Amino acid sequence: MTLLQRLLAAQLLCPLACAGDLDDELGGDAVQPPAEGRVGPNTTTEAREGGGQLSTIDASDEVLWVYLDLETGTELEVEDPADDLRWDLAFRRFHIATNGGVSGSAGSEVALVPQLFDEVSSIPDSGFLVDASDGDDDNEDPDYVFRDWYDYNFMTHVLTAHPQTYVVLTGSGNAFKVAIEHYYDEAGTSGFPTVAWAAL
Amino acid sequence: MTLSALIITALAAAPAEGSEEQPGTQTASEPEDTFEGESRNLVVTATRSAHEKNDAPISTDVFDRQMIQDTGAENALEVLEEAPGIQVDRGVGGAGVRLQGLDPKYTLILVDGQRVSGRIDGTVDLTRFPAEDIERIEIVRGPGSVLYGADALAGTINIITRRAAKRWESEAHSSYGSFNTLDLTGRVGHRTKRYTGSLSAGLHNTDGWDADPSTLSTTGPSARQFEVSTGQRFTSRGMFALDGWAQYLRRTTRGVDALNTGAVFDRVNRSETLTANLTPSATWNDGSFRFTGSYSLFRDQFFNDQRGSAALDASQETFDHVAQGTATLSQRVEEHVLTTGVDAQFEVLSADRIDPGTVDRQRYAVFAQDEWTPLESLSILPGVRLDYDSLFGLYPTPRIAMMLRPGQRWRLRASYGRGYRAPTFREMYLLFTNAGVGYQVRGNPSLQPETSWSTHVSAQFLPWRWASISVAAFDHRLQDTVVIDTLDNSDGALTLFGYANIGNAESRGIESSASFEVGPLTFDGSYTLTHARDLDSGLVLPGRARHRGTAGARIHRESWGTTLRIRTAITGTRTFYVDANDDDVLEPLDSSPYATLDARLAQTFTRYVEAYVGIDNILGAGNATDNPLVPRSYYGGVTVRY
Repeated sequence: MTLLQRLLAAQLLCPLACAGDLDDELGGDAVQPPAEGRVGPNTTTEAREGGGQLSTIDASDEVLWVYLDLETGTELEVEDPADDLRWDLAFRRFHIATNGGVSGSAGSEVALVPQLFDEVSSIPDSGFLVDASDGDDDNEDPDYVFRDWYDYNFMTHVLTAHPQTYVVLTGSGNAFKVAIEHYYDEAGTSGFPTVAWAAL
Repeated sequence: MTLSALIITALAAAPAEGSEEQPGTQTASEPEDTFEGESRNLVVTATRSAHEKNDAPISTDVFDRQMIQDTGAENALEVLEEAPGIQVDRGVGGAGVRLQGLDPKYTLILVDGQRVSGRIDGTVDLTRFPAEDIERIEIVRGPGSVLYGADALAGTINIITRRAAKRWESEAHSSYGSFNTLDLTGRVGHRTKRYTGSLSAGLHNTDGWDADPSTLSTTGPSARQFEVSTGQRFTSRGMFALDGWAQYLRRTTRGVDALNTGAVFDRVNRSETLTANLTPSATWNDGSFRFTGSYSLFRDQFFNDQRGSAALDASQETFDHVAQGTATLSQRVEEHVLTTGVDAQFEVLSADRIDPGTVDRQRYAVFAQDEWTPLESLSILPGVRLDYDSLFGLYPTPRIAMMLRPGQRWRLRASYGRGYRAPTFREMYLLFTNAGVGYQVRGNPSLQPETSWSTHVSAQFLPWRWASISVAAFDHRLQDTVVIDTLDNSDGALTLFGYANIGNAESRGIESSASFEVGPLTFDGSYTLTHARDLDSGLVLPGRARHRGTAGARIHRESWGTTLRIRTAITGTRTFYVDANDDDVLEPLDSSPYATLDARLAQTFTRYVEAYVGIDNILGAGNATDNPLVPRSYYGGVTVRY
């Protein structure tokens, strides 16, 4: 059909003021099939090139947290996070909590190591902190140890992960290195952190 | 003949502001003090009464029908971008114009003297007004709130719709060009002593364009538009006339936006406008009365379809209804022409992204203006308008203007007045969360109007009947401007933005223009100096060119039927603010100056057929980041008129 024919068919044959609803004309995207490596409703984990695991977490909900147990590599359903000792990391949007301090009672501690993930091979001697209550800053969130994992570009509102690694001592006494690699899924939706992690 | 007599002559000749003059107006006997051969060129916007363009107390630029045809423009924006001192601003709300360094939201857009609905992000998209329906466009710089109320701070643009000019007329027009741009319009009209009627329709298509093919984002959206309109005018044997105009327009635009997050969106906008107005008027020897009732509906459907996911899909629908009734009485009393009027306006907006979902406002206004001509060479225009807005209360907008004619060849004009811009519904009631990039914007229901005081001084020199030179200085001072401010983050959103009346700005500068007509040759040129800055930070406002100049030449060989037209515009450095080194602090970044060059050649064959070819943006100026100009494009077309 030529351009003119298309125009005539689409426009002239339609009575005035009859423009249809765009919602009806535009189809939605097909539902994505379940990804391989799913370890919970919101988490998929795959082996990471260069060693360790790579978990992608759907933490896009504004309210609900997604809980990970690093020892088993699975996502947990947690009803009472303050008293549940099983989880190690929790994700909500760009917030990351650990099971210690004001966030939990497992006694997890975290140290920030200014090195790339693959460069970290040992547990630092010092520098371990726990999630603390809100300090003197410009937000009302608790001061998570993970709070500075990103750089925020206030022009584009894009979050970019800092090239750094956290070492997490879990309540069970195990040590893991954790690095956030990305905050967006393949379609560019925010709230989908991709996390590299490995036991030390 | 005195100037006031001239005004009355014009007043009686063109009773309906914004509508076609009565038959015979254009060929009325020449007033004694116009130059021999100077064609009558009436303007109505600046004072709500008709004046010869060169004798209007407030300086007015006009694009008449012949000029619009000469430009080859397909819509109002393409006409206006050729005016001196006007800078096109393409944003999310469409394409508007900056007047005297101020954003599109500070310029009031009228159709036949009545305001139109459908401002998106402060901008009325001027590409939605098809050129085939425009008789002329009047541009009045400076505050027009004294007669028109809100939003006329930087100026007023009045699009005057076209009426039949001949007993029988018909016109078919087609053109095709780069980017699969196709325009097809048709028009029929009939005019008798008592009746003028016309019907026109148009189809417009373009595939859009992309200034940076290396990204998925497109720069200029594809667009398909269809419109149909009719104008009808009945004139009684005596003093009465009834004028009406109606238009329905539908426009669908599509584009692609790629965010830095990696998200890619296919964006579709479908907007429809339905505009109708009815103007009964009466004219007598020394005065006129007219009432205009108008209704304008703007419906916009917006759909943002994320590729590969439905997580960030968004759709929203907006209905904006504006109904307006304006009554104006103009009466000559000795050396005075008194113009008084009342104005009532009702606006209802329903949209998905505002809270509450439906909001409304009413405005009632009275205005009065005295056009006093104590001497033949002097006109003084005090005027005041008092608006009552249901959201903001009372807003007075006075203006005093003066024109002095020290000789036949000089016009000196000065004006000082107040303008105001009412915050948009969006600024007051928006509730928008962008989950994709993690921010929220909230309107502020307690916003107050922005106000301005503006000064204009100009000199126009008409050394010969074929030459005109003018220089003007302007100064706008804006208080309580609405700016987006970062608010406290209390509910987990990454960043919360809101609107606040905390800005102060000024824009001042000089506009100069000259035109010469020598035989078949017409030359025109302009230079504009603009200095607009934020008074709090001291920084110049982004995107404005401090220096801008235009030049054009037109050669019209009557015996050959050939018209060649060449235009260039040179735009100087514009300053933008970006966080270039990622330290969360904006640094100024100057864009490169650029020049555009357009050429158009038209040839008539017999009196009925005109064919033309043209090239726009021959130099290929523009880029995707700070200068989204339509790339070099070629076009050709044929118009058949009977």
